[in-house]
Amino acid sequence: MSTPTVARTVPRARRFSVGAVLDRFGIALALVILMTMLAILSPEYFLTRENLTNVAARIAFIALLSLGEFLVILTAGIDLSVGAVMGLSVIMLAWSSHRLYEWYAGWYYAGAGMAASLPPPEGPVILTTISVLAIAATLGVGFLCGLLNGWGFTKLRLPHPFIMTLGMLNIARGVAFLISGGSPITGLPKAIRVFGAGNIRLFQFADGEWFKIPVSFVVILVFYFVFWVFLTHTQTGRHIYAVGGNPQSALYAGVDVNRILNRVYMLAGLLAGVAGIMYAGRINSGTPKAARGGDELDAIAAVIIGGASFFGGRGTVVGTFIGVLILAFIRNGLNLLNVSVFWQEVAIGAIIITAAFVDVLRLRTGRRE
Amino acid sequence: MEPLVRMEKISKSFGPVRALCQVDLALHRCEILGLVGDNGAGKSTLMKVLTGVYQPDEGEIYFNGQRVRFDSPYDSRNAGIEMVYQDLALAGNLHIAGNIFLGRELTKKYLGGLIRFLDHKGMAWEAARLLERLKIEIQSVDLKVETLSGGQRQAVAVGRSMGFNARAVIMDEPTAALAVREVAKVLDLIKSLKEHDVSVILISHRMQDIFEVSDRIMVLRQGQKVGDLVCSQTTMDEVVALITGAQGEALQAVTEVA
Repeated sequence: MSTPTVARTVPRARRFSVGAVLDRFGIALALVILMTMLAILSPEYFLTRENLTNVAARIAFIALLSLGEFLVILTAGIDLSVGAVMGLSVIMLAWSSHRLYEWYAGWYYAGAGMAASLPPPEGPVILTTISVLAIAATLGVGFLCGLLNGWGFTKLRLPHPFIMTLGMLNIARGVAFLISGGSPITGLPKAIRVFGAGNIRLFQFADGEWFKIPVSFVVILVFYFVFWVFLTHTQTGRHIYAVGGNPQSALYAGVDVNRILNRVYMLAGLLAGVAGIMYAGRINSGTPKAARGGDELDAIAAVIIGGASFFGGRGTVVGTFIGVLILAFIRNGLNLLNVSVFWQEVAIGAIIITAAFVDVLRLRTGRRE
Repeated sequence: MEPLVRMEKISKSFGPVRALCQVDLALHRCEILGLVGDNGAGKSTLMKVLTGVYQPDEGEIYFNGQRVRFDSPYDSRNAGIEMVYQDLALAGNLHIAGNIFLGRELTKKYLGGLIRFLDHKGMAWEAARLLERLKIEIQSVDLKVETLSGGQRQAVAVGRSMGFNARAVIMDEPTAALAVREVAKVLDLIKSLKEHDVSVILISHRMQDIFEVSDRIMVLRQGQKVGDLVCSQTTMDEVVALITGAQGEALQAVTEVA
């Protein structure tokens, strides 16, 4: 009996080549180069605590939208609605906390029968309860939008997630304007604001100033870590990559492809809801401007710059985070250098195209046909 | 002895098209059955009925002597019937171990079973052992499948199908996309499956492959079984004639032999 051996031409060398190293660490390298350039070009301001903290606080909602968008793109899909769903969540958060407060006040006056001139007591218990309920409602709305996106694709069998999520973009934006009547709902309980605007004081510098980290930055680090674990160490995460790599093979292997897709869109919706909480907390207001749109495109840009493939199945959570940082630092750096915002858009456009082209090259060289 | 798989009088229509008409099939233990027929003869449909992708309009399936009903590939797989698809059905972006364990990943429980994480090490170890058992030589199970050659991918696909108590493996054109020098290796691999107490149904257009590895050959034409021959007692010419229908009168004689 002859020994069945299959060709042993495993391309080992490539694993340690320059190309492989660039493939793996190229994006991180790009970020380092970008930061070095900005540090040189804007020596007196770029690397200051103030500027870096500012960037860290600003990226929160885009980082969360990008994380959701990354999951969707990993399955070779796209979610155009995350920006609008975030906008709807912003409105939902402000609107529901105001309504909840009104209900509480109404109940207080009716029940107690006290002099209507006295404001109802605002103990921490009351405000925290209102905050928790409002946050739950907000996350619920995000989740629901994601659920519908998934259903539109898997149950209604709409041709491409582009269609369903484009529809959802308009619906979410419309509902956000309907609820708010087009004007901002200002004022949020402190327990909500802390997520978007709070700072954690870590230690005091010699000059007496505090080293502060925005709460929102800690929140996104936690989310990115959790999703890194989710994608690399759980069965569902593995299946998300499999569905993106080859849905047919995943199906044959007994993976419930539609369930995976549904989960991915649900998570993207839920993360848009979380992004809404950051956004509203940061500006202490529920503004329908948040639903105007455009943020989903930034999220897609960050994911692509971060090295994820539009063809699905390729990309990492860390890469996406770096993509978010690159996008943020380009905007920030060009602002510092007084470059017109219009040129910034041109630069970002060129970078997106370059990143996608790198992906095409990578696929062409890394894969055998 | 009761065959491992017995399909009786299977019929299946798609609208007005009669894809299968009263087809019988028997697959014995440790046997390689060559399944041949022209395009559209019903080979794939018959195998999809066997694996539960399609439900037959008529007919019964027995596995290990028990009447079975497969509502999905998931059911047939649990019973021990595996299919290796023509397009290989591997996810190129996952590594070898990931593909072998796709859909049945090993996990470890944490926090008293609240959370289950993938057992990366366990899967790599098991996958390497499986390839070793099948004498498939690939340096590392960490390699992404898309970096492998066609033959290596085929080996991984076969390895995957063998991995989990498979009793019968169906292979759809396993050599169609391979370089010539890789074909022999895959054929050897198919033959070696017998040693692992696995029966094989081999679908192929390459008559020389069929004749090299099969014990028996079953011929389908226009949805009907037109031949069931012992490989050593027939010739390529005879089989080709049955496939094309050039030998109408031989049909009778052949079915009687079988």
